[in-house]
Amino acid sequence: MGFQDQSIKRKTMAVIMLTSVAVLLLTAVAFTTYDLATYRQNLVRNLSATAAIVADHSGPALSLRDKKDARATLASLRADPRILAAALYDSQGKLFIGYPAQAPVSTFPRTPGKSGYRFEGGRLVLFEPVVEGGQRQGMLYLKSDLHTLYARLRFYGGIALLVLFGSALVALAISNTLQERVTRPILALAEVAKAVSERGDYSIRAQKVSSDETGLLTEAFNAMLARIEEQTETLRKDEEIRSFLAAIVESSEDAIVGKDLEGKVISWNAGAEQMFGYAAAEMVGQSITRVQSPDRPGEEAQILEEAKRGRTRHYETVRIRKGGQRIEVSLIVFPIRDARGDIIGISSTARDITEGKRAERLIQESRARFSGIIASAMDAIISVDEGQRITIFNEAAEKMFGCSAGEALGQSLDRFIPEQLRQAHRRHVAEFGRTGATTRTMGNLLPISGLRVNGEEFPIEASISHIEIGGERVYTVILRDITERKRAEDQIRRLNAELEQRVAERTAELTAANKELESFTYSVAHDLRAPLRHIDAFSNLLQEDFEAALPQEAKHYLANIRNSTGKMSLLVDDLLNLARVGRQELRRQSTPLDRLLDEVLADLGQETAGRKMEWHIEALPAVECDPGLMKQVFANLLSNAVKYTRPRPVAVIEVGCRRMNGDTAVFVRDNGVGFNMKYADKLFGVFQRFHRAEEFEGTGVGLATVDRIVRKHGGHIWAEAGVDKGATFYFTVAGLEQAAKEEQQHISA
Amino acid sequence: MNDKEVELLLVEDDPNDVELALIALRRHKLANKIHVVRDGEEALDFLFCRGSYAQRTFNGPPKVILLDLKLPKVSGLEVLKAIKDDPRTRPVPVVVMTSSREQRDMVEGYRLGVNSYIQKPIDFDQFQAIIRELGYYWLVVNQCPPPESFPAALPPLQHKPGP
Repeated sequence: MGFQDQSIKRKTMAVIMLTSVAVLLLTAVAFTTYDLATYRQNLVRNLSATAAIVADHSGPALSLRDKKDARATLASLRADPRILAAALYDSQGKLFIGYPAQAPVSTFPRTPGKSGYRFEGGRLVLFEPVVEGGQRQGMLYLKSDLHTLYARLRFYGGIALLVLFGSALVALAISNTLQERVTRPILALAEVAKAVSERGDYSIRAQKVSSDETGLLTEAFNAMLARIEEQTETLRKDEEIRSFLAAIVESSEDAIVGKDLEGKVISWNAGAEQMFGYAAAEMVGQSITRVQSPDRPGEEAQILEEAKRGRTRHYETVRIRKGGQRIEVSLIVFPIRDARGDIIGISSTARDITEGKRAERLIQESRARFSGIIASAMDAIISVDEGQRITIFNEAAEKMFGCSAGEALGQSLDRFIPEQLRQAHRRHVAEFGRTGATTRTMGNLLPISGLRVNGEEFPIEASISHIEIGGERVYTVILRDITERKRAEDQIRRLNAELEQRVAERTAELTAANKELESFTYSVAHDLRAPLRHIDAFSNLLQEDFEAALPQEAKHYLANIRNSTGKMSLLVDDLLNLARVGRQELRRQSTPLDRLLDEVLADLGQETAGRKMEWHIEALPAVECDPGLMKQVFANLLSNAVKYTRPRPVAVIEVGCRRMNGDTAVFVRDNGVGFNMKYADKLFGVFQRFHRAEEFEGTGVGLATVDRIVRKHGGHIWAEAGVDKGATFYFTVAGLEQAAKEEQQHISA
Repeated sequence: MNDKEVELLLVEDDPNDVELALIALRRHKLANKIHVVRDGEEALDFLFCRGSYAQRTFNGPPKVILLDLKLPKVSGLEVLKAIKDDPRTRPVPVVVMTSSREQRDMVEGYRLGVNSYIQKPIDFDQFQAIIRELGYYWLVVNQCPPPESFPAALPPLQHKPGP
């Protein structure tokens, strides 16, 4: 750290100290120099005096060449310990004698030097001529040690150092005390400055300590701080307002864009980023024409021109979003002026009205659609305001009431309501308005009617709805002229009533006919059988009681009569059975066909007695059927098979179950006489017989009964046969297919 | 013929049937104490001792009644119901003989308490056989409680519905 960078306190101290030391040093040097000079002169003077004395004393010895005396004289020099060497040279300059006596000759100079003294190698050397009797006899050489001089010098140096050190201490102590007074205010100021700069707190003030320059400085510094504080506050407030405004701009969903007069973007808010898809960084500095629609060239230039002229303008135009998507925008462009009123920039605020435009178009379309619907509706549609004045009157209404829309609009609805209903209608509408409902059917309970312009009243069906448009209530009624419908309904009602009447009559007739039929069959059962019995009984009595009296022929006739009564009895019984099958309700239950077959076979025992029979009976499934009736089917078919195989030496009869023509059928096959298939369609008719009575007995009712039973069971019956080739009867029954399948699965399992 | 001694009451409207029945009974020596009535009303008059039979008493009921169903005025089933509804006549056995093969008649007959139900066969030989067996059974074999034990009082006619 250089001196410049030292603290002012240190600097002050250093200055004081250096000054003090320098003064002291100079003083010491001056004093020592002076003292040394003085001391040297004294040395020289003392030696010169000594030399003069010795020279005086040595003159005779030298002139006499008395070495002994000379030596004694020199030896007196012992009194001065500073004299290191002495010698006497004769007038020829030759060393006469030396001191100390034992010192080698080399200790002395070979020849004497000039008279006088000189300092030579830290020694003081002196030549003094020796004069005797005014005559120069030789030279004296003295060499003195400067040891005392140096000792004195060292002593003074030590003193000076001590004094210097002491002075320095004192100076330090004094300066330390005094400099505080000078430096403290400055340091305090410095502290304050440091605090201000570090914390940015301009409200700190330095304390004024004195009225000197430091005091002035403090005052000036404080004043400066006050100014700074004031300005900072102003700046802060400005900044606050600025960020407040910026936040408003940023938070706007509208795109707010600042441009210079050339159309270069200066500011680009979040709304603009959102709307146009460009980030602020992408747009600032760029021309606004970047979002201009290519099909509107020059538009932006025009907008700029208008703004430059100081006009605020509103536009609706199209912008192109990043990526090419079109946005419909509403634009407000206004000039920005500086304090002097010069236009320095342009602000434009864009609002996306794409949705709004679309909605507007939709509304227009929907309005058009609704107008179309209203115009083309089959029903009359009439809107009225709260004062019952007509505001909509569609074509159907024109036709219905015989009144053009031009005439009807603005009129009171009363014109189309029969007088006796007007009151009720008003009440109804008012009440409807009070309820929260928005639609309601009118005339639910009572028929309502409309009034044509020609005074004709006609029945209508109506519904009413209300909506509020701009705070005003609008009622819309939809009316349908139901004159025709009423007429049709009346007719339907009448026809229905007639029909019901007719049905009731027919039913009664039918019931009566059924009753009649029942009593008829009852009569047949009872009344026809009674005479038969009587014929049989009396012919029997006649035969028995008068056998002897009767001729053979009469007996034969009687036998014929009895035979016929027997046949008729069978016929009556069969017919009764057929009739009963027709009206009997089926009592279905799960019935194993095998069991029915066994019962029938057992009953057939009498008919097959004495004949060769070959039976091939397959397993049959159990089906839902009326067992009594189903047994009759087997009984009929098997007894037929037995009957028509009578001419065969061996009757072969098969019973089984086969899949036939996509259905499952039970079959009964025999090797009997068969029949010609051309009569097959007559096979199941009543009283249809293919054989003469002498060949095969029968009433011709059996197969008709079988057919009826099978059909009652939801099945059908058919036969395959050929003359002398036997016959096969097939029949199906509802549920047989399923039963056979289950049976099959059961077997394979 | 004394009404009191009637053992068999034949209720039959058809004269042929009457004749054939009588022939059959006679042939088997069962025709001694037979009374024939020709319709349901007459049958009830006889049994309840009223009208032309007012002089009759309940003390001599027939041993069996042969009842045809199809009768003029009051039908056979109505006659049967009247007999079985009244405690005084209820013990008298009633045998229905009919040419009808209607099952419902048989069912109704038994519901009303008939003692036997026979269908007249067309074959006369069979008819004679049935008459013979029937006569022997009801007139000879079967035992009836004595008339004194019949409830004498005439309680209100309460019809008990059958099963």
